[in-house]
Amino acid sequence: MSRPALVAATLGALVLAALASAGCFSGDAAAGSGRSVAALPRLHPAYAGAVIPPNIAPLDFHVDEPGAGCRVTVSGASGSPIRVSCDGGSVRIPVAPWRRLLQANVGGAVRIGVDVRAADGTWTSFEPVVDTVAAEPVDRYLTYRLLRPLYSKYVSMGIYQRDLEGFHQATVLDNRSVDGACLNCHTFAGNRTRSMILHTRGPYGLTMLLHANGRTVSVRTQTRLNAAPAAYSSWHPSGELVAFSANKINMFYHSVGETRDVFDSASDVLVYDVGTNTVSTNPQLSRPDVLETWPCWSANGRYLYFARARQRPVEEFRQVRYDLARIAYDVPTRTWGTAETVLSAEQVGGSISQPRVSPDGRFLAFSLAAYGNFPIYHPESDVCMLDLGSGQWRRLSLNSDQADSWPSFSSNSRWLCFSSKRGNGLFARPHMSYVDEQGEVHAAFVLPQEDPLFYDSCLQTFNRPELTVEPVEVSPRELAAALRDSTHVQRAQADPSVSLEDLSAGAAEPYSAGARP
Amino acid sequence: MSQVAAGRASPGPRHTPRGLAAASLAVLLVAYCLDVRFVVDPVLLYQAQQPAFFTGRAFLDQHLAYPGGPVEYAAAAVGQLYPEPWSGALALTAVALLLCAALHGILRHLTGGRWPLLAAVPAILLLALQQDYYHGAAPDLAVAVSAVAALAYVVGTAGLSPRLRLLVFAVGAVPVYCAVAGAWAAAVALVVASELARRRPALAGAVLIAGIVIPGVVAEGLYVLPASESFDRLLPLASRGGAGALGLGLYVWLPLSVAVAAAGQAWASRLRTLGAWLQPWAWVARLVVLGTLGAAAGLSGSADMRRTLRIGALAERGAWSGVLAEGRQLRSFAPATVLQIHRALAHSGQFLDNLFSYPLLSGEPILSIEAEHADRLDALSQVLLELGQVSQAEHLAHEELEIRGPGAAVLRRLVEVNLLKGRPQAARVFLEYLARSPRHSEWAARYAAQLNADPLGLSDPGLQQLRQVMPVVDHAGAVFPPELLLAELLARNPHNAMAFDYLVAHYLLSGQLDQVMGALARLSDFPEEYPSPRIPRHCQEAVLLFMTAGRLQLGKVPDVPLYGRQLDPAVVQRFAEFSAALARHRGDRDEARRALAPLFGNTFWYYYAFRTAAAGAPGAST
Repeated sequence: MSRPALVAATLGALVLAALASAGCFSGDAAAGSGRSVAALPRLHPAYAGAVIPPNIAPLDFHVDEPGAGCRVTVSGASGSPIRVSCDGGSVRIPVAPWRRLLQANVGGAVRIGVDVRAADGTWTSFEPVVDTVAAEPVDRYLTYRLLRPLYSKYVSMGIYQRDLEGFHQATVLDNRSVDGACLNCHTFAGNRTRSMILHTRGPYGLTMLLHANGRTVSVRTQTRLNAAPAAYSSWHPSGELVAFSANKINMFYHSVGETRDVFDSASDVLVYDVGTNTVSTNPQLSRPDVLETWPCWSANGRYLYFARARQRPVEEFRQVRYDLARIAYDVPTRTWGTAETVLSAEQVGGSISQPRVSPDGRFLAFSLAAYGNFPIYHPESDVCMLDLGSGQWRRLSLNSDQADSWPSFSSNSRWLCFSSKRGNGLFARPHMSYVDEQGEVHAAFVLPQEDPLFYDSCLQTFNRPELTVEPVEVSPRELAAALRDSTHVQRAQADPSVSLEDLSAGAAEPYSAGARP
Repeated sequence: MSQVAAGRASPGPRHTPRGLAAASLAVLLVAYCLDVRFVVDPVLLYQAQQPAFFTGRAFLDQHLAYPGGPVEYAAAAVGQLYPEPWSGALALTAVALLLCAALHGILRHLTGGRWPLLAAVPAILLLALQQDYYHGAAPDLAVAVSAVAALAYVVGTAGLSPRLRLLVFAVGAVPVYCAVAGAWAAAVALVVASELARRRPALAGAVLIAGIVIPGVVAEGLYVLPASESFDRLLPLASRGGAGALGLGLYVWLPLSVAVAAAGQAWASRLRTLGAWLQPWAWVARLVVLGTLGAAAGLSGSADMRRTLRIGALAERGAWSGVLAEGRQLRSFAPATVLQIHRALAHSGQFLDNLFSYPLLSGEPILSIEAEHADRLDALSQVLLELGQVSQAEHLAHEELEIRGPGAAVLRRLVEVNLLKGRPQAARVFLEYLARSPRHSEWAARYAAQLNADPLGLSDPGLQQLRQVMPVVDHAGAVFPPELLLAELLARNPHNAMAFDYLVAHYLLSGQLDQVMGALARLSDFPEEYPSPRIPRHCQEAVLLFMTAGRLQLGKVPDVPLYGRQLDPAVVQRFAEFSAALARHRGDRDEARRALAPLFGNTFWYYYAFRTAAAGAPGAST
């Protein structure tokens, strides 16, 4: 949706709201005996003022206003209004009429009128909640990892995929299928699922489940170049390469504030070539005195972005602040350029991690925390955006006072999805926000659930939300079988042209942000 | 064709008079119920198993996602009855009745006779299994459901051709397997035995193959589990200790009883010719044997296990004198029990006076943020919270939550932890979850109402007290040794008496005499707990030991400042007696340990000399 169109839609929504509050719409309640109040109803989840995709599931909610009953009318300038009665305050909007209503009002607005009935039978009408319907759809599927807030022990977790046009959640892989293995870091190539990886550790060792070219295999990514297995990964747009970080991760604990924290005592960035089953790297990505992590390919695949910081002893964990760097890469010749700092920790006043480039190549979203590279444990962490054209960065208005992290873009670059612990500080919930053509990010809203009270008692946290245009094509059975099949484990080979001496040579000069290492 | 092989058998010889059969089963089940009520005690079962049950779709969905989940769901619901002893006993008796009745139905259908004693044997095995408090109701319920399914097959397919029987079996196998998982083996065994009793070996073989293959297919296809793991759940054969053997006995007995009943047909006919007067006596003899076995099963539980569980239950209620009374009688114990006893000592102001009168874990820190078992995590988390180490309590509570699942105790603790950490909405998530527990919904609703008026729980006196002792200066680390945890608390609030007690207890247990001497200066920080001139007994014992050690090393008694406090002459006198007794056994350490235990086993000297307390010995970690 263009900026003028969005402005027009928002204005339209405001006019609708004004007309509604002035009684120009013949809402059920307004027509009967009752009164109107010039305030929005208290609803949760709160969706007021959001810009929503035209293909999103109904925004079911709970009315928190006291009363003996309520009724809701969802309407727009076009299409048939939907009237829903409340079930104990819970409002569940039927999927098909909702979908038709949104389609009829693409680029316009929908308003949600709420009337509450008091015990004496009188009705109170609130100002309608108005949401703008964007022109651009969000990718239909959202994949996330569901687990309880974990420390060092894990029993139950899984990777699941939600159809955003409804409420169905499918299992990508549940760890009960694989002897309770830890499952993490699902990564797709270009918002499609034909090429995907996820990492596991547990009874089957430290492996990467790779699904590409119609086959699924278990890959051991440790080579002489990397003692640690692949952790945070990014697919090259060509689907031929996976950049990954190999991290020596140490968990530690605080006695005040968020209890959990993570410190990387070492990390490097490497590249796995899917076709040749080889792992390669470059001295600029594997300096022994520098922590390189969180790789992310640019949209055109010519650059690899990553976070890097000078290695420090664990006692100085608060001083470990990561810069955003990038290095050019030429796929046909498999040659690297020179690494350069794109945005320094000093510039942003914090530590950069989880960079994600929008598919249109214009923006780079990242997480910014006070230190370290694991923002999910940092209440102060925010999602920020770097304009790759102008080099300007900003902290987004969608952030909360709790951890906002794991940003990712939809395939059309118009939707930013992220995990947020807003509201509770412990459990991350998937949120979405509209990004207009100018890169302005609009109010975020939580992933709607069929039961509006779902999040109120959900003891699980949603990590790493990833949008894809299609469902994961590989079945849970195939993934589980590939992991369990110890006879066909693919051991990655180290690139023979890279020597450990070459990598050590990178340490000749001490690292400093902004200087080319 | 024999009578047995003719499908629904015609009435055969009566092995047991009708009234006597019913009466004998009734007596057995009443005895079962009384044993569960008064000997096993469902309250202790609840304490051991902590069965969690929640209403709502999410909890049900979790249980539908794996084989055996439905029965585990039902067993969790049954477990909610345990805290009411009679309800719990009746529920467990109903499970036993279901199994016995199903087996009896199968035997009766096959032979036409009544076999109350054969059918009663599983109840005896179940009774013995109940003595293992961690066994859980799910495997028993699963085998009972499996037996009912077998009965349905045997009765329902009586007039059908073998092919149709096999088809019914295959179709029925899917839902039954989904419900009972590995316990499906019991149904297979019963059906195979029944078909063999009917002299249909080919069908029995086909049923056996189908009974093994179908779960594998369902596990792979429906649950994405490897076929090799299809029987892993709810089959008690792999249980620890005697439970495994009893489980095996149960699974062997079910088909064996069918074989015995079938074979007994002809034998019973011959018995009838011996004379009518002999039959009741033979029956009485069998009943006596069964009764003896039942009594043995019903009384086979461990007294220490029961005491351990009672300690857990009493600790949950804060009944510290009860914990200490039970603790004194323990002969073997689990680490979690020691932690509960320490809590009881601390809360009753006896930590530094009677620490060595109770079981101890040799070589283990008094506090740790590392533990594997849920019971230990639970106890550690609770004590850390009471001390004020809110973050470490949270850490262990989450480990427990992951290992054991959402039990009421850990959810309540996480409500408190999150309020203390200023996350009232996270506290509400735990509270909302707890509100779905039928047993705890009332408490959750009451607490939620309090939070509506006071979102941070600022008026809660317990939370207020913790806010005054919880650390406010961050310390970060991967390991938190007890000394650090406790010193951090005393730095925050030097009047944290519980932290002081634990710290000095840690010094005593780790033999740090000089640190105990240093701690004497801080006794004045606790005028209520340690009014002058009193010095806690174990500290006095440490002082005397320190002075003696100094004299031996330096040739003179070191000067130990007592800060205006005094040693109790009785303690001094007792130390002299200990020293003399020790000297008498010089050269024979083992003999000295045995000889000194009755008189000095509850002293720090004895612990220091032999690194153990006389009371109890470590049992299996539970």
